Amino acid sequence: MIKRTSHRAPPLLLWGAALCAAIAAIPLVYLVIRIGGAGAADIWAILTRLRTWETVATSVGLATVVVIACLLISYPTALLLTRTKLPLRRLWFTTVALPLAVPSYVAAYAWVALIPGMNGFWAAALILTMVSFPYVLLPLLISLRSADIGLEQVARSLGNKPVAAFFATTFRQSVPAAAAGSLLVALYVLSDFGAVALLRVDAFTRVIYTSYRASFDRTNAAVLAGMLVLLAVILISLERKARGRSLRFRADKGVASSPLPKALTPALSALSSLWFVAIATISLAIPVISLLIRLGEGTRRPLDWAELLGAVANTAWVSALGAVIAVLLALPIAALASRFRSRSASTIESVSYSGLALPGVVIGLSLVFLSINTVPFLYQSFVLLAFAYAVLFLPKSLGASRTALENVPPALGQVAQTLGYKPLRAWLYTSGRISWPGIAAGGLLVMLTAMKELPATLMLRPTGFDTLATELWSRTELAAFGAAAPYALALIVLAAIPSFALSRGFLTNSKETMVNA
Amino acid sequence: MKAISIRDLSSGYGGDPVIRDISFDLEEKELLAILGPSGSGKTTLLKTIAGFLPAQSGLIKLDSQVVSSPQKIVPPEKRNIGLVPQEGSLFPHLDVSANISFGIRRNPKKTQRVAELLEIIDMKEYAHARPQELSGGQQQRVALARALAPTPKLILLDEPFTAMDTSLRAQMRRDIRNILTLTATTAIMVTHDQEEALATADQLAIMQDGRLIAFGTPHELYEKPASQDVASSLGEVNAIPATVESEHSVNTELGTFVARIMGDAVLGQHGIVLVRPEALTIEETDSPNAKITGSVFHGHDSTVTVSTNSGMVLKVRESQQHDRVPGTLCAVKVLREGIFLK
Amino acid sequence: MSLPRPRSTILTAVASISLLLPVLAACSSDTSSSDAGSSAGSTESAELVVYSGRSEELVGPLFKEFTTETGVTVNARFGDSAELAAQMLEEGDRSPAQIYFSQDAGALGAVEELLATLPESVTSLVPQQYRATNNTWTGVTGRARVIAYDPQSVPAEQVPQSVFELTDEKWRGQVAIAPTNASFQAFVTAMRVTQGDDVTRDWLTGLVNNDVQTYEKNGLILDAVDSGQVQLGLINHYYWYEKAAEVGEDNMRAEVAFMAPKDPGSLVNVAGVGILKGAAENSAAIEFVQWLLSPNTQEWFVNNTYEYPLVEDVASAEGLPELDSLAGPDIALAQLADLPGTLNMLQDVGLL
Repeated sequence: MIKRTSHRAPPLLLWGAALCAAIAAIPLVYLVIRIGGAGAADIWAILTRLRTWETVATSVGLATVVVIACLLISYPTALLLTRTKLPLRRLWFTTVALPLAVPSYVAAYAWVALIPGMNGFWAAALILTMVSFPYVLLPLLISLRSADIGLEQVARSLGNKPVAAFFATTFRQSVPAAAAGSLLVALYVLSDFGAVALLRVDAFTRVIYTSYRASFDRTNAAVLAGMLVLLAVILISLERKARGRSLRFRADKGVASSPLPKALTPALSALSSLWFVAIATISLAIPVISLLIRLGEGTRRPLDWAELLGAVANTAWVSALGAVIAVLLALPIAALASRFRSRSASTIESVSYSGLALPGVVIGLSLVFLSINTVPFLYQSFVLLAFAYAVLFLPKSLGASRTALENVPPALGQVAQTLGYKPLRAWLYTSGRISWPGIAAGGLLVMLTAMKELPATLMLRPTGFDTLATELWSRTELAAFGAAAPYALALIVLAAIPSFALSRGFLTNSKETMVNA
Repeated sequence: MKAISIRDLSSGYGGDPVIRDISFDLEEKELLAILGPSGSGKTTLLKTIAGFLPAQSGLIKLDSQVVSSPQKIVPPEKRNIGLVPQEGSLFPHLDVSANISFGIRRNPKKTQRVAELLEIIDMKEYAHARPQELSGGQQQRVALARALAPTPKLILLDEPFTAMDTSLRAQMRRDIRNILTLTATTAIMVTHDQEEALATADQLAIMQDGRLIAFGTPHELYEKPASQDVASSLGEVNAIPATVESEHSVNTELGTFVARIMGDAVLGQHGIVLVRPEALTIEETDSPNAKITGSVFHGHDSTVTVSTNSGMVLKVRESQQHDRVPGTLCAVKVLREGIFLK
Repeated sequence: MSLPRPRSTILTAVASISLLLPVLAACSSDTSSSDAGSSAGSTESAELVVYSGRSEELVGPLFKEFTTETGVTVNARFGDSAELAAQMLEEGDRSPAQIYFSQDAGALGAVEELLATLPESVTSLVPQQYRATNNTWTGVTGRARVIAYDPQSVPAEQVPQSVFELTDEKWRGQVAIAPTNASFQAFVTAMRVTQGDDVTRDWLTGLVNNDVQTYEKNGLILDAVDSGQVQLGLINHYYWYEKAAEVGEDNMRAEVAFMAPKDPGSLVNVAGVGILKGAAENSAAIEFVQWLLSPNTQEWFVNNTYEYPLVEDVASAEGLPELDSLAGPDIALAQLADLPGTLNMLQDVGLL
């Protein structure tokens, strides 16, 4: 049983976590300042424009469809991986997180290059689903893997057929994991711009970008971004409700019965394998092949290897630093949220999710504004860019760390204290040490996402500092798609490394690595 | 010198105190069992003694050093109090030796000490085993060894046998008791199991609704409970309405018999007399005063339920097997001294 | 019952290495030397900070040329013209930028308040209609609005000569525009100035009713026409030449046509440059702008980007109609300042 105490949280932890959350919410400060500059009449005009709501509806509709699609893909996939003797199971396990390595705009671009007429709502739904379903699949895998089969057996003894028993017990227990993953997917879809722009979907982000790009009216744009934040808040509270009501069980006594893998009939085996092949093809193979074709088409200027490798190094370093900062910022919040159930704890947690809802351009501008006015020596520095990544992607680290920490009994830390360890050291040597794999996984996830980031990078990077994403972008600007292909491929390959590590880490780890990102 | 001394301790989770006015002393090397139902506050008391919960008022002294008072509260890591939580809670990422040496890592003699403790808990072969490989009982022993390693002034055990099979429990009790005696460690054990408390403790404290309602040796509390609540905490007891007949006897539905009169009761005073089931016996008779309504077999004895003429339900313990058919009329006699309370 | 111990070697290894990388990176020298606020004042500097809305692929080699010729290092920051403008506005007078090189006039107009008045030596090189009225910025090269068409479906003679033909029934669903693109918006503003708001609004509504296809960028429109997705598209002329140079002229299916002179559809817009106030006295900055307008550089543009030179005595690329003959609608670019009005109209008709 997850033990949350009704103790008051120690003030140091509470204030530490609050500080970290406040740092993560810096873009909100910017929004408030800018919205404050808008006249009430302007705000009213924006809110009453029908078009605004049409695009909101489109974005919400897209997010809904993508979430449902991700769930529909993830549940059978997770079941096949955890409950059956699927052929090549290990192979599929390790590749399961790889679609995360493909940025949405690269996937969109690759598909459009292959099928020129591809566009519209359903095309965007397909592509966004294929690059984001691992966010749901990974936590689901962990949940199903650690479920105690004993509960299902009890349900069956009470007269339920196997499927019904499954739904009544294990499925219920998987809801928090699925909910957390769905939240990430929904926020991702709402804030995505690259893919929906390429696929010509009239999404809400388009309105925001247009506001920035065309009207230079940062006030109006801020109001629109504020709407996105409200939407995100609603989603976050929905997820919290879904998470809160369900019970989470660890096997407490004796050895937890893991489900025995079922053997599949040859027909089912073939069908299942086909399922996996199809997913891998659509999410990975096709984009990569499309890029390779473009690569083959030749370019005007030959590939500058030095430039490519330089971009690879830059991307790796700055995203790694961003991941480190994100993990450090998220840790106090995760430590707080995993043990204490007060209102302040959940508020602090919710506030830190704000970065995920906002499009990169808003985060970028907010940090431009705030850094140039408060810490100008950091403006356009490597460190600031890494910090922007941390703010943007902190929730991913937060979810993973929190889940990992939740699974460590508080008694361990208390015992360490009685053995003479001061509270912080006690925590580090017990909870910290034991949850390290989960925390590291969250860091990898941040690093992976940071590699693909574009709009904030463009604005905040040091002049002359290029990542793979910016190089890719500057080539596609010119319709030099052939020249863009090697950078797109390099980006996928580089991002595949942490993805692969995520899958592998999950595979070798037992139940305790909760990448509940 | 008292190992631990507590005066007027109150503690809670903010707001109203969960435990109040707790006072007791414990001598060195003694084992105190704190007995009480869930919600009685025993875990709260334990946490306050350990230092995880700050006391709201009152005093705790360890070895005549103040560790908790309104002026200062010493943090847990400085109190030198060992803790064995309910489910062992061994560190899963360390092996048995590393677990045991966790609190004495800086001690130059730590290898020796670990070997010593492994010997005491009789698990030398498991020095490098991982916690996952051990049984529940073994894990508890390692947890105890870990807590003992830094030679604490006091060890706290939180319902240490709850997670175990019944058949193991008795053995575990003996083992743990022996280890504590061997290492001359003062210990406080929290439990809801009265049998366990009576069997292992040197001193016994009974908690109810956040207060200490009794403190004494198991014998004292069992033989001379100060109230019906205390008596029933330690086992089944029959509470029979009675009147004081003389200085040493009372009159009841079952007849007149010897009873210790507690407090200053006067002749003719009405009250209840507490009689343990094993102090009653069932006889065949021509003048029955009760009817058998049921019986439960325990193996070593049975408990027979009877209903008196006035409808009062009594429990009688019989060590010999009789065929007690429900509905049979019988006479219930009191064999031993009861305790009369106002 | 204790937890099983986690074994996670690969995970820990990768994560630990990732932890080391940034430490190494932070220790190694940061190549960026941009110092916020240091742009002010210096009259002699061996370095120039340029915010360029034109891509690195394109003008990178050009900047290197400048360095070779003058010894001044160009610290160029590449981005989207409009996003850079927004960024500069956020930066305010602490912006490290000294030069702003924009893809279009609209973005320049938006940051006018940050720009210094250009000296005579610069403004005398470019005709008035290609400069800001208050001379805070000047055009560098010209780009004409053209119509891309698919010759497989539309023979050259049938290509519309005027944008007003595009609302015709026969082009239903076959016309592509990029309403979020600055060039299109400039074109609409020009139409409003010359034809009036009502005519423009009617035309836009007509397009919408005629199922006009919207794309994000000119390049994508060209791709669409090139692959036969649509038959007609409104883009800037040089996109075709750029793509042709990239993939080979023979591989191009789409063609481009210029519309009738004086038609709103033949607007000539400019890519332009401005000097930020803090660098007004900076001789390197002035030199940079002059250099962009020098005959050699203008010829470079002609040969590499196929844009129109704005400076006299430099010939346009072969095959392109003369700039003067295009003329476009009779307006000075500076009149295209009412962007908000255009945006409102586009939003009203549902294109934005």
